[in-house]
Amino acid sequence: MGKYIIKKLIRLIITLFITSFVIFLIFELVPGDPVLDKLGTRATPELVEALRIQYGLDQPFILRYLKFIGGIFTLDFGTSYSYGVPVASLLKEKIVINLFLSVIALFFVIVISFPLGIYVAKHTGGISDKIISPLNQASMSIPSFVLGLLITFFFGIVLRWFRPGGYVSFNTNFGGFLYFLIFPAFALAIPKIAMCIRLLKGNILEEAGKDYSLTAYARGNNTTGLLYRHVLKNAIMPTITFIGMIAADMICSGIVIEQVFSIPGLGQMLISSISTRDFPVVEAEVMMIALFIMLISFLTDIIHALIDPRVRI
Amino acid sequence: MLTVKDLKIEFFDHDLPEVAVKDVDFTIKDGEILGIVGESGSGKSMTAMAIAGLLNRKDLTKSGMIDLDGTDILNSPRSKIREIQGNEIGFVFQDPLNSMNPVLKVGAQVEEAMRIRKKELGFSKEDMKNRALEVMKSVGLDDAERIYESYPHQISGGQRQRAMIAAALVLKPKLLICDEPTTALDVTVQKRIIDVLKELNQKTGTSILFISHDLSVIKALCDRVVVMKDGLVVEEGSVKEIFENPTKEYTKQLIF
Repeated sequence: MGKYIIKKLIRLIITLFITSFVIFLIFELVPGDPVLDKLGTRATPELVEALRIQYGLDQPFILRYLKFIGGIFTLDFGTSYSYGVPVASLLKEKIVINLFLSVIALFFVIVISFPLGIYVAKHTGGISDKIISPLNQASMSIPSFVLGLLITFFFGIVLRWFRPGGYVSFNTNFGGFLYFLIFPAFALAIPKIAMCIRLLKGNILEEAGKDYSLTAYARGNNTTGLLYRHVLKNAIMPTITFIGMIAADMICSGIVIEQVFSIPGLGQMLISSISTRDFPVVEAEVMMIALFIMLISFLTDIIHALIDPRVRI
Repeated sequence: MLTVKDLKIEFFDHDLPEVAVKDVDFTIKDGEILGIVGESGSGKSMTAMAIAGLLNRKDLTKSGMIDLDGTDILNSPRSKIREIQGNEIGFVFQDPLNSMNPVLKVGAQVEEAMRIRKKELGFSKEDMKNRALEVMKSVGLDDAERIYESYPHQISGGQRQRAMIAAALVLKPKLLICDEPTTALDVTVQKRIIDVLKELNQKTGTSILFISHDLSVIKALCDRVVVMKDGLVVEEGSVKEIFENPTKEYTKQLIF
């Protein structure tokens, strides 16, 4: 197991280098010059040259890349071109918002889809199955941002459980911040919950039809014993992989949901910094998202290995 | 000990009844090894599954009687059948890799029949482990301590099938049903598994129902044989009678 973790860690670090290189390279190749963008019509050759030196753009590519890499570990991504403040201070709060949003949504996915998936699998063809299956189908096909609008209307305007657009900063009121995030997180979670329920149900039924399940019955197991002792550990694997992928997707869907709920998260920042060619900010943001995804997939690998001995090689 | 009478199993294929097994009668006496031989689709596995109480599919209809020392397996409620499964009847399947749960240790699977009845048996963890190791050693797993802690993918096919036999025998059942237990194994391993079953029968007097399509294996192991074809019993007799003096044309074809 220790060996496996080390192997995965090494892979994580290699991925980190490759991803960071690709991200850095892309913004090197993207058309548009941040210096000319900033100066606009005031640009004179002297001013351009001076700003270039100030941004460090006169240095060779590889040197700037190494500085970027160093920045990932020290969380120092340089200074924003448009705001003139350190990127880290600019992004800190926004990353916290998106992280909480994704984690709360993931929490909903896990807490709701696992019990429901197991229940539906156990009662296939029953009333609960007949109600949940079409409901699932519907929730899977509605995009999160539409659900966000529906939730805003129903819980915000009709029931008045929260004030639409009334985002609460976590610095002023942490409880209020979490409470506000529940609603967008739910909008993010619903389609994923539906997918997880379906996946888990399908896998449970598939595993229950395998030879080892028949063997377990032949030893005198009842359905519950079979489910919890034999089937679940095997059936849960694809769902865990899937939840890893969801976690990655949460950050990206979150960017849209932010707009619906007027949350000042990464998304608004990302869009504005791309249009102003504020590359240090964009690079830092994309790198943070990539890092989050890599960490999630690392975690999924570890969980897999904990459950399935065949993976620990 | 076991009497099968007028066993009939039908399943429905697009609402049309299809007979899988019909008019099957045979008995197994205490300490006897009975072989059922037949090609695939002859209904031999279906019969074995019915005896082990494993035919619960809703699209199947069953009639007749399967009597194990006074209990009618075919017509008893599920709870009653569960008491028998793993306790009075042990079942060994064809493919030892697929019939083991890949994420559970071998020891846990050998112990399972005990664990399910832990309360009634009053077994502690220690008791179960000791019994599991004892039965694993008795089927020729000399390295029982290591295998107990191994996962199925870490041991060989022969060891897996021995472990499966150990799991079926852990509560000393009266009847051991083996459904093609050697088909997925090498010939040399096959021979050793047969020896294990033979020795078990001689030492403990456990009756064995042995299903196979391989006549040489049947000949080496069994006392009596039932020959099946298309869901019907073609011929029944002692191994000697059947092999030396088959009366039915189908049996002759099988032998020669």
